[in-house]
Amino acid sequence: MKNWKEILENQIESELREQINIFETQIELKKLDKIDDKIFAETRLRKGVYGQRYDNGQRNDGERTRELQFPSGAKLKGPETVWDAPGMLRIKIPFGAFTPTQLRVLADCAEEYADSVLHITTRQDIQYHFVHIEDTPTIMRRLGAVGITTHEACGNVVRNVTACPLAGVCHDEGFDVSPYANALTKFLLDHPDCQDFGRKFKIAFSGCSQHACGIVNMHDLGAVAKTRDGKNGFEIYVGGGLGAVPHQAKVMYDFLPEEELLPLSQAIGRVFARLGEKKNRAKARVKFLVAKLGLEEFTRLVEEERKVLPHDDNWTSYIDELPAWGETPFKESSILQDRNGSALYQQWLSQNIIDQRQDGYKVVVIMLPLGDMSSHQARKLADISETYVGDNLRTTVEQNIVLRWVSEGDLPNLYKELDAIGLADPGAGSIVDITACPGTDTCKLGIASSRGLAEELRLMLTPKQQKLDKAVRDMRIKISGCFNSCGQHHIADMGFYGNSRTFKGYKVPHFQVVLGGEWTNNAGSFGLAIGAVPSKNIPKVVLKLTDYFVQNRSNSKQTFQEFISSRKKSEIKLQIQEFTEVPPYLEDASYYTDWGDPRVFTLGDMGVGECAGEVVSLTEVELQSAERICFEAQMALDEGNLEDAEEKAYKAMLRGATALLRKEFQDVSGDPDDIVSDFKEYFYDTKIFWDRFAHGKFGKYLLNRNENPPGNWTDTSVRQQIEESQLFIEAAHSCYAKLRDEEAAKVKGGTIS
Amino acid sequence: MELYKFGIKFFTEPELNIQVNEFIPEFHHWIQTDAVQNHLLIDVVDYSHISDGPGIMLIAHEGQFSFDLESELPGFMYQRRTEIEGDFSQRLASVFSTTAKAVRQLERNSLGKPIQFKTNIFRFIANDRLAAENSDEKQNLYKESVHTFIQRKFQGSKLEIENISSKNERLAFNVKAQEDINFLMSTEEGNNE
Repeated sequence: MKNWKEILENQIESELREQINIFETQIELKKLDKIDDKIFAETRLRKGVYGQRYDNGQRNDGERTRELQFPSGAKLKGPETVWDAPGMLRIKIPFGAFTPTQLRVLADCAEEYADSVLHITTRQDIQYHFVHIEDTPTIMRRLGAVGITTHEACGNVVRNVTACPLAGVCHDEGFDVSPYANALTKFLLDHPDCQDFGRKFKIAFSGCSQHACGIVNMHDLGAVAKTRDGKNGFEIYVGGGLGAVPHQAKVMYDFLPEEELLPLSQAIGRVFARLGEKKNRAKARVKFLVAKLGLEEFTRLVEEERKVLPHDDNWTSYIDELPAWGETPFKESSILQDRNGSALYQQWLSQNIIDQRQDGYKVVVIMLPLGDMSSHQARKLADISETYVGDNLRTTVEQNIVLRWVSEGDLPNLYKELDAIGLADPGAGSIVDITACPGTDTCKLGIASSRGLAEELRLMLTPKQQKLDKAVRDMRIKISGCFNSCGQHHIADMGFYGNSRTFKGYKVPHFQVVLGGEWTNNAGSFGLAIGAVPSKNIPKVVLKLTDYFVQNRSNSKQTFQEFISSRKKSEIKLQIQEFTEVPPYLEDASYYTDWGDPRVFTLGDMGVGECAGEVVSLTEVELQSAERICFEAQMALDEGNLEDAEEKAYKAMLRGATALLRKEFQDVSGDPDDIVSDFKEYFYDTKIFWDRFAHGKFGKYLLNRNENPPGNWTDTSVRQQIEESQLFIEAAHSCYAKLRDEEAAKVKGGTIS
Repeated sequence: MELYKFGIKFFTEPELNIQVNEFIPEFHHWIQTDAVQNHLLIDVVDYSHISDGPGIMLIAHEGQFSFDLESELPGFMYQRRTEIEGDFSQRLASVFSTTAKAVRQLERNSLGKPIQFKTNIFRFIANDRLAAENSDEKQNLYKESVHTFIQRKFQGSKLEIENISSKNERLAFNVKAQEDINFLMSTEEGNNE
């Protein structure tokens, strides 16, 4: 019997075929232990082959932490990453465009090598989970045979190039950005100037500046379609990004002619590779380089680089082909004659259908709960697509799929067919269309269950949806399992990111509430953290805050984002205060588990140790106080008192550091330099404060601020300082919890009497 | 017949209105108690929000167990992922036995939740389009093998085999006993693990 490699040999583009063959060889070499763990990890990441939760070979089952005894034993596929442990495979879908033929193969591979689910990510990729590394070359070949690659889906390279899913059919766009996104994807894939980055590099395209679809403001490089004197070009943004500390991108060029798009991107790549941070991952994104150099200097360096770039025909060759680009409608346009139907159908018509620029055609949004679709649904969707729209499918950054070029008169039948496979839920783009990263379900970095919370909120809000005020119904909720923002919580009306708090010896899953982010205007502004709430109280927080908004807004047209911007943060914080309380374990144990997971939210060796008494420690009081000061910083920022806000953000970190020092020493100096010095000596240099994944990043926030007090204050810099302060305090909570865990373990082990 | 990636599914009784996510704690309990012989149980995944999907999954290194919602026909499925020694008949015996045991275990769940499975019908699903493409030839080959296996195991029972997979789907068919045979019970008596 022939294998897939032999069968597909001539169906895969030669370069991709060679890359896959090389990767397969690298897997074999790694099995023979002939490649270093770190190098192999970066190698597989660049092929989209990612780690997954529990791949260190350990899992807490709710009672104890167990070793997962895989057949390959201690063999590794990266540092602390066990060979046999299931992993994730990220598949690039450039600007979200894919075809029914591709969808069928994606479905087949999901069934045969993963868990039969296709997960749409917030960057228009598709992910498989629970994949064995030795299956990945075969998956790559099968996908490669239909023109899909996983190459450079992860790692320190140019990631999937995203674009507005309405490009080409939108009323408001300057022009269709799809062919430009396509050209840039091909040009930068495996480009030698993009192989030596300190971190990843994300690019997004948008057809206009007012809508959210492209969210260019949160990308390393963003391009917004613009015409000038009848010529196509782009408004270019650089240095945006979410992550732990979000940065708004800055306008680098008001108008860049189309022929300069590719060479400029290459020049930026060169500058980033040459001057971007390499050692400290936490500071290695373009946003930090732009912030460090200043936009003017960054632009000057890029322009200098541009001047010396050797000419490349590929820079402009695609432009000649632009007139031929474009999707053709699959069917004749038609008019919807009869709008009658069930209530759900009416709701679907009003929420999931978007007008196209082209008369007689609509875009249909398929809202995927949690971004998930089964292989069965995917295969049937491929059939439906071939009946109604042909190849006109795209993924969206809201983890949905859109069918473009639906002939209007087909809507009733299309609805019936989608409904038959469970893909006709109404509510697209509304408060029930919740974005969530994988969180603790599968992500190694997840702290709290973002998907569990998202599903809980979806189930709670769906029946209420039609009764909600329109402004509430149109809100966006986005959830991340940790501070890293994969769920894009910063740009939601209501965002949440996972963290944890220790309460009387138990860990309790919490979510930080982040309010007032702006989804529109390409992610025009970021929300601010209001406070951490136990995960199980978040549904109540959502109801309370939406009600508070409706009752107190200045007029019915005011958006939630405008409302939050107009109110004092102290007033808003007061609204959620009642939900911050955690009942004792014996009174309500549900607070100590996460959504959809019956395991107690602690490490197995945690429990109620001798040292986990009922008395709240001074450290906990001080940490609480640090949070309060940080919040005061936000209020000062609200009021425009930049210097005061910055100072308070610094003081909050000092208080957090003091809290930890207080745990170890009776006498702690009140002098900031002494606090920082002691913190550095006892917590930073010893790595006690270090996060397992972020390492010393959060501790550095305090050290840097102490060493370099700001000489001037801008809204952006102070906002960033507050974000850093918040993260420092989160890290202090984690550090304290870790120390208590260690003490508890020692007590259990009998080393402390 | 090199196929080892295949699955067996037993269907729940239709009158039961089951919320599959209620069984999440049961699967965690299985992990805690190492409840499935010869399997490294890793994690539980909730896909109950997908109406035509894998429901609740218990992921093991050797295979995946799912309280499955596919095509609105809830049931319990085990799909083998790693190789098993022996010829196809031995591999089938092993997968059949693992599935049946897991089904019985779910019926006796520690949560005390009522659940019952149809005992005279199961589905065979090949999960490898290379070793078992969905062609007439392969359908006949695997139907015959499964038929032989069941007849041997359940002493010449009369079977109906129904092809249920369409062109683009995996090779799959339902096996139904014409008389009152309990595939689950018999397996407990004659374990092939």
